[in-house]
Amino acid sequence: MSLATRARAALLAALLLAALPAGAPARAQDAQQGEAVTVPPATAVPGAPQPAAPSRPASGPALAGSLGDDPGWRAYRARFVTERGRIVDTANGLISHSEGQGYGLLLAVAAGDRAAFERIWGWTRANLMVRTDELIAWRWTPDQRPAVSDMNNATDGDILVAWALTEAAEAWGEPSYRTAARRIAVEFGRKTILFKDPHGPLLLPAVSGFSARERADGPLVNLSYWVFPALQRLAIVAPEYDWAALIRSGVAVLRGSRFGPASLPTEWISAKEESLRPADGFPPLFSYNAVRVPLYLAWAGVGRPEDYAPFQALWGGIDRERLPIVDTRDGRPVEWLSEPGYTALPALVACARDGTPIPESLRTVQDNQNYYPTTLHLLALTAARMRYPSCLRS
Amino acid sequence: MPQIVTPRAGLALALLLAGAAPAAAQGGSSGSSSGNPADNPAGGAAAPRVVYGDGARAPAILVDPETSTTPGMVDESALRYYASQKQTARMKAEIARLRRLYPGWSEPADLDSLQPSPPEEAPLWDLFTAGRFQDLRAAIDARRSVDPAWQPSEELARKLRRAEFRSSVRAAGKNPEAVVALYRADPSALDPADVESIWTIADALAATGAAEDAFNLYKSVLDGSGDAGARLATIQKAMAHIKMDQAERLIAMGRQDPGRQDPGRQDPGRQGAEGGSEFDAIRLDITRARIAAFLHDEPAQTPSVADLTAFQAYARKSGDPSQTGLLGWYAYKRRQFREALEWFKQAIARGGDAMVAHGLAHTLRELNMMREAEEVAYAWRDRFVGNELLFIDILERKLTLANPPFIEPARIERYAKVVNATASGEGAQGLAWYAYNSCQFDAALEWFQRAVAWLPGESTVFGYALTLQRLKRQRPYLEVVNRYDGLFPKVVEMLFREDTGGPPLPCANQPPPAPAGRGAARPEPPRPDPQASYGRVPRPDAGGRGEAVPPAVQRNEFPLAVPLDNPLRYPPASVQRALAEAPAPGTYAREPATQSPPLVARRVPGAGTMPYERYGYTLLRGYNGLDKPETLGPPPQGTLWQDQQAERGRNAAEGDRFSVPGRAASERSAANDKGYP
Repeated sequence: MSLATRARAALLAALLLAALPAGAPARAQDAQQGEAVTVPPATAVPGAPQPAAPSRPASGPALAGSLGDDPGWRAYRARFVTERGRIVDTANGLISHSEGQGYGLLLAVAAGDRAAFERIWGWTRANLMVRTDELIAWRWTPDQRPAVSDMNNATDGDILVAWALTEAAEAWGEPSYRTAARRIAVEFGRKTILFKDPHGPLLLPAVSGFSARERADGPLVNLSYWVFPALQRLAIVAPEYDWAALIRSGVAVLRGSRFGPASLPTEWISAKEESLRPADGFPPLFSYNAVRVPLYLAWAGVGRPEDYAPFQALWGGIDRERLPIVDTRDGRPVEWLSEPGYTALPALVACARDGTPIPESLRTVQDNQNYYPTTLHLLALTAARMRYPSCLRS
Repeated sequence: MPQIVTPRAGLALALLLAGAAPAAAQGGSSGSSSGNPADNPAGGAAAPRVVYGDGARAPAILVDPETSTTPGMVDESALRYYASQKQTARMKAEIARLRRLYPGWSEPADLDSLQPSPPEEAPLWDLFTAGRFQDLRAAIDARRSVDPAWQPSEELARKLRRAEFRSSVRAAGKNPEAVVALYRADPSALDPADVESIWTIADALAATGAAEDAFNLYKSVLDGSGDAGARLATIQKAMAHIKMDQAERLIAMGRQDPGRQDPGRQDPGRQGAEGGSEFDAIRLDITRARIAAFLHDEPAQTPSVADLTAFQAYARKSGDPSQTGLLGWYAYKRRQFREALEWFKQAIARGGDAMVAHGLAHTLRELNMMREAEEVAYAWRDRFVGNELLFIDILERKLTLANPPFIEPARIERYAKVVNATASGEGAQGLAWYAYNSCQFDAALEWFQRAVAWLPGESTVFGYALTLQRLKRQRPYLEVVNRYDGLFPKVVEMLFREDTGGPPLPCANQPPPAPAGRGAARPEPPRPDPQASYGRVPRPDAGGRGEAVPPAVQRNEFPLAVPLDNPLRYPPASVQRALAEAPAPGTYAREPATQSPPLVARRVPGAGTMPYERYGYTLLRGYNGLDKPETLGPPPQGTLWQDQQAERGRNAAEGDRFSVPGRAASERSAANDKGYP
């Protein structure tokens, strides 16, 4: 993982980048009484005497083109991406959300599909960037008035979109993608990251609803919102933030969230006290959200073997056809994720940790699955092609 | 410090030192005399090691470990071997040799007490002193396979273990996780005298978040090593890798040496704090680190006036834009903008990069030299995306003034190009408002269409609807209002106004700017008041997919069934061709058929109260069951946003600050029913 962001030379003057609020002038108009911000974020720093490992953030395996002309992408596009650029969540009332738009953009970059990328981005901004800032309203329902059903953002959606725009700008040199990536990244950096939390920087799941003031057990975090491979790359557009520290704190939160006999994180975690615990009012489950944690770890090559161990133990058993949703209190499955795409996650983890080849049956994406397992499957394949290509040979 | 982009911390440190050296040489006012190259026993004025003061005990940090053939420390292995064998003549020769090689070096005190190792170990020691650890390990194994009872002497075994540890640490040097794992597996294998490995491990601990362990290792060097060079380098390592307030604790451990005090220096404050510290030799580096900590909002000592003056003198003399630029940011953050301007100008003049330009532009902005700020940001827009955004945001402010000033057409033209190239919703609505407020409604409409495609926030959609209304394009106007029913109160409010079309605009009494082309052929009518004239806003380039002119509809059709997704798209030029052709059937998913949405809006968390609620109309429950209007909350506790808002509150009285342009305009209209942006 890149430890360099904070010391990078470019930082010299990154100070104050956020002086112009990320947010853009024209937009911070309403609710918040404006924000002429001339104060640099605490992290925006000239890293003068900090010659830490200055790896270029642009180094490392490239996402763009890694999926090649994969038939899996073409099938995905034909099934979930409308011509206007909306990603349809087929298992969820055909709604769309910022997370899905972000995944669609990432897969389009990975497949080198510029037209699809632009369609998805065009829809995303035209329909979801309705807030007074640079963040993305997270939820859109086709048969409601208005279609936007929540003004709140979802920080993982913002991260995914900013990452995809960054990769697209790097790969295709399109300036408008770079400026948009920066606007979004700077904005969620200042609005959703708690840089001075005692746990290290914490990622609020959204601008509204999860902070210490808003919840008795706040701040709340969702580990699967730490999109580690994105955090390794966002310094390209927003060098003023200490992304490496955010990666470290994510790993630390993971290490502090080994709940119950199975040592698994819950979807929602209270970071109010020094010791983390499952959040109040949410079922203490390892479920749809948290299955992405090992995906992002492996994709970024972050963490030590023991960080993967609970997931490997959970997924290494006899039942390899489906993934359990686990009640962390007793470590027992309460439900199963049975669509085959989900099993790409254990395959990726086994590949990343032990070099186990991805099974032949998982190298192509099966039809007739819903949006989420298909997406996870293609993401896992993309991660393997980028970082563990040997698992796909032979 | 852009130059410090070397792959090895060691080399980077050497560079840092090299940077510090000239300042130390400036004379009595800035550094201790032992920091002066001329005084250094090592001689070589060009060598960075001169800043170490009294010796070259730690050559490792002065060279790139990858290319160096010299191990990090003075290799005393042979000496210790001869001593343990009581081979006095050879021992003395070795001492002389080492003294010649390392002028600051003196022999260890424990030579007499070394135990002789068994004579049959001599060939093994030869392997050891030759650094052939693998061969030595193999030889030991071979011997033990013949004679299982045999053990190497304790001395040899320990030294081998430490040497092996040291080379594995060195091999893992680039991977902090691996270095830390090695260390955690066997902390006792670390030779307390092996300063280079200690540094590597401490750096790795710091990099992996174990700052306190890193601190303790750095501290162990200060506790255990008397070598001046190693001690200075330890401070530099610590400043580079752990938080400055921890590094300050190490700096405070510096030995006070009255003899080192420079009689020419008159600075009671500094002497009171830690005058005559052995670390004065790296005073510049410490000052630099304190400045950086201040810029990071991290606790550290405030540089004393004398230290700051010395650093400024050094920066000025070296002309290194990374140093003058740093002082620029330092002044900026303390809101000393005149001073910041001077430093940034110096830095730019001496080759400063796009980040320095960024600082310069912000400083000019703070000094209300907006025109200059705009030019700087424009000139440096290609080399740093932040400058491009700054350029857009600076002029946007002027564009969105309710009564906009005259802006030269060429400047607007240039701005429009950048806005199109970056598909900036912020810029597009800026141009749109400028056009609207100068009665150029056709241009306003086209820019608002782009703005609504790129960033359809409430005030942008409001401006779009307002322009449609003014142009009497009733059908699209009602479509927009209905589309955002339940989401944007200000847009829906338009239906409930008496004065449709808005109040008279200041430009209504002015002749509109001459349209392109024809304007030149026709003599312009005299302007009654040159102050009130406006620059022509160009129409955006063709290429998007806007709306066709639909048939007119009756007024007051609300609620109206309208498509609820926003159809506006203006893709960047680079993909327009790819998007122009209709995709082959089956390429994309078909929009799934859903039932047509109800005409009554539902609650949206964060959207606030709809205007018709005051007449008793209600909304459907939100997707999450919400049945009361709800606005988005204040900045979450602990975010930079919260700090920034607090800061802004404190400085509110400061007059003309860079403020959010669109807000000034749109909030005025919210507060005052009669005024539009």
